[in-house]
Amino acid sequence: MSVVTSSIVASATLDPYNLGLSPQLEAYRSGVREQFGSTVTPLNVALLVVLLTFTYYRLIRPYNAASQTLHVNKDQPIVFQTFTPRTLLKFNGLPNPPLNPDGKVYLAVKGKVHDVTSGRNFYGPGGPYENFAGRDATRGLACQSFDEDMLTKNLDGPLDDCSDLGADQLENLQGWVERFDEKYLVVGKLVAYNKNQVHGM
Amino acid sequence: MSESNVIGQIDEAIGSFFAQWNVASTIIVGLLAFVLVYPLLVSKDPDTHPFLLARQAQTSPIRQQGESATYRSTEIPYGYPLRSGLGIKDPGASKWTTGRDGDLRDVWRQAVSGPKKEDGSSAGPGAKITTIHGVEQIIEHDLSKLTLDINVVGKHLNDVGCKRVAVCLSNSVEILCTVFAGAFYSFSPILVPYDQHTDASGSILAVADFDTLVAEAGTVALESLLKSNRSLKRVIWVTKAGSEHLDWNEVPEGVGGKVDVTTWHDLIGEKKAGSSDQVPPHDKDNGALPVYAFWPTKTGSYELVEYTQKNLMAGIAALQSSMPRLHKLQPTDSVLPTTGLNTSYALCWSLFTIFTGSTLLLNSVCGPTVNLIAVTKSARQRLKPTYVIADARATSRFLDEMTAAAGSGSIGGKYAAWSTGRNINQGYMEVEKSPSYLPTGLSGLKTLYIAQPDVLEGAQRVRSSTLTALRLLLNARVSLALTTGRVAGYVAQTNVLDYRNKGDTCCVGPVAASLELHLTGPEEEMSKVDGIGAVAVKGPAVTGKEKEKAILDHIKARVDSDNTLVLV
Repeated sequence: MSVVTSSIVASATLDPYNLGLSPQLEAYRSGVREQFGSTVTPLNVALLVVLLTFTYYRLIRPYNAASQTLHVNKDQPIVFQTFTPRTLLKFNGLPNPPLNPDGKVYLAVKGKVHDVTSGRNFYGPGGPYENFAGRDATRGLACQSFDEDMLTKNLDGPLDDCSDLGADQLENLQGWVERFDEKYLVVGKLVAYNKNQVHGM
Repeated sequence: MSESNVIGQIDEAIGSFFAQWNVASTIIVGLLAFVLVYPLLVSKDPDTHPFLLARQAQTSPIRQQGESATYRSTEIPYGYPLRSGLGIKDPGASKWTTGRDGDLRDVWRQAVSGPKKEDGSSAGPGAKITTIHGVEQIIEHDLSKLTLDINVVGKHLNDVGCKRVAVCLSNSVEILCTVFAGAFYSFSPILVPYDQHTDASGSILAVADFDTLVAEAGTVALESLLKSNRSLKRVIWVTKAGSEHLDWNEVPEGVGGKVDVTTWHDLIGEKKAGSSDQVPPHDKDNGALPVYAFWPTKTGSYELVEYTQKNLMAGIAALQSSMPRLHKLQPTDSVLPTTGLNTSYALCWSLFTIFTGSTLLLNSVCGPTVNLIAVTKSARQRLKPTYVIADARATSRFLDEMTAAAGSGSIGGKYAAWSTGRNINQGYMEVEKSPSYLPTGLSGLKTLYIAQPDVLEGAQRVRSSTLTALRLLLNARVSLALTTGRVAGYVAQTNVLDYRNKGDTCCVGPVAASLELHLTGPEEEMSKVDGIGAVAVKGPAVTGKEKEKAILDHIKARVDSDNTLVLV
């Protein structure tokens, strides 16, 4: 029985499409089919797909270098402004919208306003030189003093021109001016309040 | 139990899947490993670091109202002076000095003697100047003979009291001789654009103020010129090599004794006994006079621009610092300017070339719309230029012609373009290998510099995609420079090693090292990150009376995220 079955199975596989070919040709064809079946296995097909994908992405597909451009974050530049003593007062380190939402610290030395926010520990609120924040610090720097009476009292009056300072105080001031110019950015100039002029702020 | 069943089933499935492994699988996996490893082995580093391309100019932390931040070249920190000269060290000066700015006389002196090392010793032979007339006629000039010409012409014109010389020639060595003679012997050359197709030069000569004319023989009608220009006293014709025997000294009727007519050739022949072929020594006390040129305006007319020696030296210094450190001009390089030497960009390039001791090629066919293939064609292999300066219009014309020609579209051409494109996307270019379809004259090209004058608008401007197409076509680096009459040299030039394609924008790159640039406009526009405004420049390369500052109202631009200038 098994012999009959196997011969029926054998004849069935040898001529599955009933083409009526000769046995040698059928044997050849079945040999080819076996070879094909053993080579083109699902594993090989999967590996071939992986190979073709990698070949395409690594060797063939051009990637656009421009789309890989690095974007460096740029800080917006600060606008150079003209300050009056009253408007400068807002920049004493405490957040003060709308003019000073970030709580920057500015101080003025000889008419130039410097951004000393990076020295907040000194010039900001709670620091040893906090009196200078948002004020004209010229006289105080010249006289090496942080007292209140070094600051201009009348914010609406003319600027302190420091004409009564001695030669060595002026020399000291010059040293401070150079140090501030090197270390801190100049972000504006200080002018006296003039009620006839409209100030930009 | 069900858990281990599921895992057991998965395990079995994986096992049976991989049990099908055979020779073919091994081959495929081998190929896969090759595909993954091969690019790692053959990839090259990009020519420049992406960080350097992401920030190509420094920006100032503050800005004025109505202006944008100020942009400077990354080479020059804030507080240091802009590049204003070439650092000429006099013999005997210590090698640690920075040198002085110098002027054109120092440029010629170093061209003749050859470039110097830091300690004053010679670093190479002198420059070479070769002129090409047509395809066959190639003349290599001896610099000592040229120095003799300069001395003869300069002394003669100085003796007769000439103050301003108008030079109306196509690119030739006589233009350079006149410019240097003016520097050494105290008169001002006026460079008039020469275009054989239009009468622009005629109309300029009619209104310009000069007392001597150096022009090509037969191109200028003397009678009509004399009617409009009363102060003309002498004319020096420059004859082509074949027509020297003709008698150009004949003056037309009515001109009579008012004008002294001679030819360059005769002048040198008569007076050379009285002059030497040595470069005059350094004259500390007298400065050299400015050089004048004409710049086309949008309306089609020309305006006179005065380039002082400082302007020109700043222009040359900016060119020197724009060349990448690894690709500087070597004495083996040769530069061919195809635009007229009356434009400051080509003039600065020519002066820079001879200053560094390289070869300067001058073709008598020159201009903004010249045919680049014809101009670079030459009978002999050794005249392949490594650097070519071309106008934007000539470059567009060249690109159209080459893409229409069959060569670049063939299989070999397409493969070459694809391979160059892959290299460019990885950030490097191998410019030594040239595509086979390129004409011989362009096969040695390392970099093509495109000068885009400010008067070009719209479709005449060169887009970033066009620059990429040129790189793929030529397998050479390409750089676009914005030039204007108010600035000697260029305003901004793209980084030679920046191969990125920015698409349809006209990006002209970062500002020159001899300038500071900012945009001006309404405040609400300037407060935006990409606000559009008019370009304003400051620095030693800016011409004009207003203390080295100029607002170029007609150039509207914005600044890109990498701090380069983009024209809008």
